[in-house]
Amino acid sequence: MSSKRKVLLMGKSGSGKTSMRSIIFANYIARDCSRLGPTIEVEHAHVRFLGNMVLHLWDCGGQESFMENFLMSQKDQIFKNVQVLIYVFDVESREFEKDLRYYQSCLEALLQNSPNAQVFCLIHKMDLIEEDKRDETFKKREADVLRYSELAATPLGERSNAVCQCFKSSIWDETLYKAWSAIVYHLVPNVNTMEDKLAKFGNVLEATEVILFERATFLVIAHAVLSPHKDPHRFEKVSNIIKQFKLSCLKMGSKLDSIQVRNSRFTAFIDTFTQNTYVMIVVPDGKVSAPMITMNVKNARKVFEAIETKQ
Amino acid sequence: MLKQKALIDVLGQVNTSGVDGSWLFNKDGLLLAYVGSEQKEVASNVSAALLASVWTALERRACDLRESILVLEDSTIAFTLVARTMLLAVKAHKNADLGMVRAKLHSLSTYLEQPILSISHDLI
Amino acid sequence: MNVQQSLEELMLAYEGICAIFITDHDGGLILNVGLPATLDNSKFRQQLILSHLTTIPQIHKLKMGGHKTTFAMYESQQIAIHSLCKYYFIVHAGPNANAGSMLAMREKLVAIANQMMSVCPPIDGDAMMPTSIASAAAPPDFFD
Repeated sequence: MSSKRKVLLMGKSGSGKTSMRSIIFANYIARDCSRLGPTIEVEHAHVRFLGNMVLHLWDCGGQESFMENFLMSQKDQIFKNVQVLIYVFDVESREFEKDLRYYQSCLEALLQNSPNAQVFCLIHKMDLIEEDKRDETFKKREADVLRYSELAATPLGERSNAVCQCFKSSIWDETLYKAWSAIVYHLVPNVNTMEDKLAKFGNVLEATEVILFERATFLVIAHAVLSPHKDPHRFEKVSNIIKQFKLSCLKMGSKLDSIQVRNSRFTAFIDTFTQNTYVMIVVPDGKVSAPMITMNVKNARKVFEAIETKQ
Repeated sequence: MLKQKALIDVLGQVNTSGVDGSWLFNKDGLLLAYVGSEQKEVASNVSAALLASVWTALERRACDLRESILVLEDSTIAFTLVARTMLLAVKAHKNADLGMVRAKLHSLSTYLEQPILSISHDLI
Repeated sequence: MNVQQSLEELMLAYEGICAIFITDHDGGLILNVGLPATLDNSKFRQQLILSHLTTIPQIHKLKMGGHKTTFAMYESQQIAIHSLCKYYFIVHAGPNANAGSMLAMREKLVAIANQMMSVCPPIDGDAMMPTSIASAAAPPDFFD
């Protein structure tokens, strides 16, 4: 039974939508994106995610003429039955007010046609801002976006979660993964069951963390943290690093199977898990026995595969 | 699931009166756990690998090998098969009584047989 | 002392033992004593010696001293290999033989080994008769 999720990817022309999509879902690296041209009208991409879920990505061309069309004649077609809207803002845009107005119109159209859709706003191309100004710039933009979201939602009254989530992102670092992981996290059914089971699994192994990644995109789907960690950005960093490594392996004609990293303070195991996931287990003991963990992972596989097939 | 701590507890129980080390490893020589006196000269995972290859060599003569004992100048090692795919080895000081060493080996392997069989039965 | 005779006596003294053979450290057979049923077991013997020789360097790598005895218990047989002086004494027995006595037989074999050393002392060592049993199958000094 496959479940389709309609995901709209919208934003001004040149804001980076197609590049993002290519990196996350089509194994592009950031450098390859310079080859991409402007998207004409709508590009549809059906992406398999987690095995039997299909993300139907509507990468909507951002040029003004297309945007006008979407909001006028094609409104119903575009905005009906949407689960997720991802709106991309270029942080360097000179016409931010205009961008926000377009956003407001899209949001209104969305809320009329798909009242239960989730909205995510990405403040993209953050790498073009100087590092020490990034937080400040992001907060300003976020405040503006939230304001306009309120404006779009108030005429419709009860809709309380029109307030969307904002993320900063850049194709040149791990923030891209953080944003997309958060988005995808909302689409995964049974997330809570999985996290419970992951926590139990982690306890048996005496691990400090157990993380589940989607197989193709390496986005974090679920995680159990059994012992607090200082760096809240570690998930996306790991996604980024392993994805790059996986791509290098692919270029040499081989598929990534498993990785073991050891030092005196910890051991990390990254291994294929179910048909659609990879698992990463971090154990605080540098000398733990690898065959023991491998054996336990094999046994846990069956349980998680059962959860996956239930959805 | 095999818990490292639980396994180490069980293995550690035989390390008394002359017995100073026990290993659980698979036939490929990969160590699952070692409990015992600190191995200064040869690391426990290296000795596990060596013992696994000695076992394989002895098994080549006849496939029904059940148990083996190596009497060396400084120590004695007794090892046996557990759950069809793993090996259990117990090391003792050269003056330890062999009968006791074997008895300990047998009681450990009987105890571990069911648990290990249940987690590895479909991994063979 | 007639080595062959002593070995035969030893073999018959213990229940279940069906053959004893002596080889040098390279696996060359020196003497073979066995019950009539085992006399045409040369292929088995060769395999036994070969597999034993492959285990010796690995046992040395364990760094627990020189090799004294390997004892292997199979469902249908038991094999004890004792290293004494420059020889390996391989004792083959059925499942009903007493394991303890197979291991303890080492003491009895000492005298036989000494006798053999006196008759043909090793060429590489000093030609004097060893006063005690040399470190059994000790790893060579330059090892590793």
